[in-house]
Order: sequence, then C-alpha cells, then structure tokens
Amino acid sequence: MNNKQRNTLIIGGVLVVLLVAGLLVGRWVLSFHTVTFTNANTISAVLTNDTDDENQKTVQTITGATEVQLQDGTYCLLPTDKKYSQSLDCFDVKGADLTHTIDFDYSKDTLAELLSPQQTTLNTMISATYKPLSDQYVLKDGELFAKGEWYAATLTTKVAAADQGDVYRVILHKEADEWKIAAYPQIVISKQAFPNIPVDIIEQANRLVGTY
Amino acid sequence: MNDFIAQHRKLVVVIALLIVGGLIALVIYTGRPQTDTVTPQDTGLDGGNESTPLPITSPLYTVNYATKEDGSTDTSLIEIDAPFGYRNAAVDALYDVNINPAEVRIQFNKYESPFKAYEQ
Repeated sequence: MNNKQRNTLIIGGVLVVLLVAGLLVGRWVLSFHTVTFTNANTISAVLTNDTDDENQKTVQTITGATEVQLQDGTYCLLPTDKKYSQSLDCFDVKGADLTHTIDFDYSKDTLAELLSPQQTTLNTMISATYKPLSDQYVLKDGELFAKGEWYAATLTTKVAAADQGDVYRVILHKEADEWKIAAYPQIVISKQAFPNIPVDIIEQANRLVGTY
Repeated sequence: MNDFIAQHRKLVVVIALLIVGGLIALVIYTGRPQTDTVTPQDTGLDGGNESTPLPITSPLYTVNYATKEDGSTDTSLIEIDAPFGYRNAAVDALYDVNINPAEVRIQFNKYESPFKAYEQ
C-alpha cells in the first residue's frame, strides 16, 4: 500500500466516522423538546424523570413559568411546599414540544385547616337550604377539595338503628367568597348532569361515606 | 503497520465493514419508535368499558344497561333496581367492575328523589 492509498483509506475512514458521529449527535440534539411550564400560582416543584420512586432522578426544580428542554419520556412533578398534595403530577413527552400547567391541590391537612373555621357556616347553609327535609336526614361533616373552593358532604336518611338509609351527596362551590350549592343532594352525582364541576371533585364526593 | 495492513488486507476490510455496520445498526436502533408507556393517568377507572360484566345481580339489587325502544342495549345509561337502603350498595358495585359512577348516567327504577324539588 503506497502513501496515496493509505491516506485515502484514512480520510475515508475518518469521513465515515464523522458521518456516523454527526448522525448520532444530530439525532441526540433533535430528541430534545421544549416543555413550557405555566405556573399561575408560582408553585415550586421538583421535576423528576420517572414515575418509579426508586428510579426517580431530579431533573431540576421548577419555580414560576419556565421552559425546559426534555427528551422523550415520562416526567413527574412533586411540589416542594408540603401545603400542597404530595401526589405526583406526571406527563409524557412524545416527539413534540408541549405546555404543561403546574397546579396542585392542597394537601388533606391544609384543607382540614381551612375547613375548620367554615364548618359551622357550611352545615348551617346546607341545613337551611333543605330545611323542609331536615328532620329526615342526618348531615355529616364533609370535606374540602382542590384549593378549598369545593366542598362535599353527605345527608343520610334517618332510619331505625337496625336499618340503613340511602346516602345523598351534595357539592358546594365557593364563588366570590360565597358558598353556593353546585350539585343538589343525590345518591350518585354524574359529570353529565354537572359538567361545570371537575370530575375529580365529583368522584371524591361520590366516595364520601354517610352516617350509619 | 504498512506491512501488517498489506499482509492482512482482507482482515482489515472485514473489521472496517463490521465497525461501519455496527455504527449503522446503532443509528437505526437509537432511531426506532419508542414504545408507548402506561402512565398513572391511563390506569384510572374507565367508565363505560364495553367489556364490563353487566348485569350485576344480587338478592338485593340489579344493575344493568338500559334497553332502548328497539330492544337494543343502551350502554350510555345504567339502570338500577334496588330497594331503599341498598341503592348506594348497588352504585358501589359498579366500582368492582371498573365502571366509574361519575362517568356514566345512572337511573334508579321505581324511585323518586326526595330532593327533586331542588334540582337546578
């Protein structure tokens, strides 16, 4: 092999390696997508790259509205402030840019704290609204949901001790700092009948246990 | 080095082809479509699942899809026959067959809500 052949072989080899390396780098660069986080309440949250607790690695902490470059995969957000529910908010990045809103409900403890000073008002309002039926039902203290703007409670039909009565769920919504009935008492509440109530609120209301 | 290449020209060509082939295979492999992953949101209760085993019958209640006027099944509406005190149990039975009561329309037969006057 003379020098010319050797140089040709080396240059050819280098070109092939550069081409392949270029393809790999290009593919890697193109694998990132812009994820825009909107954050109306300026909730600080940790972004992790897996839904599995053991494999989770922190990508970064998100505070306020921001943009992050992420590869395809499943990512999860966990609020850093314990006043928010510590359940993961997961989303998928699949071959395209996306916008994700950071919004967490309050934790059960926070909601219980918010409910305490309002419980009497809420019970009084429900009892007054359904006063003609008040002697037929037992109103049980309910729960606040989301950020405290939704409330649900149960009304259980009064029956003899050995029997069980039907349980009705009622949902209230706080608008302009005033509580209003959002769903009148029903055995089961459906989203078709109340499209303005978030379905997760309806689901939680439907699972409330009555007074037995 | 030149002597080695000259003496093992075929071997060098084969090794070079293997390296290039391996790199091309790597590019193809990394570019393959990603398998869809199941997220927690996807595994929630799914109301109206067509494979749902309705009717549910018990000595106390019956839960079944409604029947249309032409005799066909109306999967958008679930009818419950249950006496006073057992209607909640009938609704709860839907969770056992992966139907979310919040996601479907439910009608109780032979029943009138005492709160009907308060319907919005």
